[in-house]
Amino acid sequence: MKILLKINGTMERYFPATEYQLSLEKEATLADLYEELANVAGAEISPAVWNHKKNRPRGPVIMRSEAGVLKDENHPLQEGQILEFKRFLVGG
Amino acid sequence: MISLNLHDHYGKWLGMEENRYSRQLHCTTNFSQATLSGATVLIAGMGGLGCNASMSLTAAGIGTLILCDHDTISISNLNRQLLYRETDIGKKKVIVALDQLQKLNGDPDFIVVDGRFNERLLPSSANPQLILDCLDNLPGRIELIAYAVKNNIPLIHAAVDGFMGQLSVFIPQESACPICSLAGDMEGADLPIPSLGACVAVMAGLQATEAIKFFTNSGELCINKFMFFDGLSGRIDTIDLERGHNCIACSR
Repeated sequence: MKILLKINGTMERYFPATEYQLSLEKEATLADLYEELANVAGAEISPAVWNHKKNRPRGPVIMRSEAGVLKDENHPLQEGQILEFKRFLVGG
Repeated sequence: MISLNLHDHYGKWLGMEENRYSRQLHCTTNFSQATLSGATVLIAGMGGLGCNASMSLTAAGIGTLILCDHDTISISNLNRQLLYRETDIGKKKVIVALDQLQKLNGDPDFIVVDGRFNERLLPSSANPQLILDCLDNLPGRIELIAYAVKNNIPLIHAAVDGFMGQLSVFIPQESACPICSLAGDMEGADLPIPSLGACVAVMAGLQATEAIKFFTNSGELCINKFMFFDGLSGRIDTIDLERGHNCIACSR
């Protein structure tokens, strides 16, 4: 399936691109998406926001879909889904 | 040439007498200055958000403001922390803020808490009805939400980073807290954060607006929603939030 991942807000400064068209297996989950993102963007993502050992975001993030916020890594994704990847802000 | 005194014209039309609060009394049909004057708000963090939000709430005539911060004023604070001056560098933020806010409006009462937010630091006379989360770090924000849950006190969260901002209103036992939405590691939130005074003022203004809406029962609060402000595109966007059953902040 195809998933469009948009890199939004303050996250943009840590990624080499602002969106990725990711190809995943049918019934793929959020965990699979993280793995594929690591394959595609690899070492170009800043370690400030990406744990390269775990292939997971480093620090708090919000993964938004049309259906709401995705938090559970086992959450199944759907063909054609558009996701937005934002960093949770903490500054005051 | 016809001369028209606009205050006389519109003030009489609205039945207002001119006083400090007369221009805000008819913002909504529910608006009650007496309710605001009886309200108590805890402002946790007197940095950029806290300075701006406290100025708005002081000017609006909130009855009691509890100001909490541990820090001293440094030169790098002055681009966004508008209560402080160059001559205040090295002084305690809460002491200078108290002085400036009292000059802004003599009506509110103030309680100063000099330290990192901790429930034990609050004097017994401090009974906040609402908390403004103006902190600048994730662990502190999580602790503050836990305090809000324990004491059943609504909390208005805001945060900033450069041109971006976010806001959400949390009602304990009823709604999702801001932390409920998070994925990823909770560690690693310690990046240096760019902070722009104008954007901080926008988010603090929205925070103070939600506070006044809360007390005057006006409009619709940003509950179970996350509001994102993108100053680069000029967009405000909201997403729906759901309560997390194992939230590290509000499920403890």
